[in-house]
Amino acid sequence: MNVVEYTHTLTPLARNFDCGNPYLNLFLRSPDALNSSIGKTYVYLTEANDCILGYYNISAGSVDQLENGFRVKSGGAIHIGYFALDERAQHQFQGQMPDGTNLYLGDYLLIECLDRIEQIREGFVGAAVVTLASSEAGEHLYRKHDFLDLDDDLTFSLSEGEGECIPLYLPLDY
Amino acid sequence: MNYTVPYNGTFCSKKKILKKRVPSKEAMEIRNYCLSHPLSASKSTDGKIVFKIQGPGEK
Repeated sequence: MNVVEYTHTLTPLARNFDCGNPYLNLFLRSPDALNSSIGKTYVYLTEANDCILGYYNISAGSVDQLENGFRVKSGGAIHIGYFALDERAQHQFQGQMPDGTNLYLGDYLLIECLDRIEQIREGFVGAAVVTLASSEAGEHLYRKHDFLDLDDDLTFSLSEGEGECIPLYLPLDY
Repeated sequence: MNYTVPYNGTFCSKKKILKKRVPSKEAMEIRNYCLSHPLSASKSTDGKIVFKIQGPGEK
């Protein structure tokens, strides 16, 4: 897969990206997608680098325990803040494993994203879990890849716009 | 630095993340398949995206 860090030279391609969710489209078109204070954005491109098929944004975070009204850090996290695929590309992709299991573009991009997180964890930043706040539309994909509901006494910080989403996490230790 | 919290025998929080990752059979199979069958995509002249799932070792 041709997944690269999103840079200023790729921003003209964002105009044609449409995942069907205006909020996620807007993020990619905004300067925030290039802002390292918010996270790092990676884009999935065609081989000729002429079309963005998907993107995700990752940043450092933590999972906290609620203890007597205070938040106490339970473990470091890598947070997937944004994850989106172009709607037309999703419809044009048809994949199937030999046993008949359907494959989706989201499977490919999420596996690539999780591998990148593993590399970051091994080489650069310690973390216990991957966190994300899922929309209803994306929930099935994440659960298929073993993301879990947060325990009742655990929490993590949500970004603006994630308030209505479903908080999920994936432990990184086997 | 001036640490004033007494050491209580661990640098970890009282409640660590205890759950381990237990890959489901479905997730493992999809992951193995995707990693051994790379995906490439190109844009055709009519603007459609053409995907190609390559076989193991195929270039």
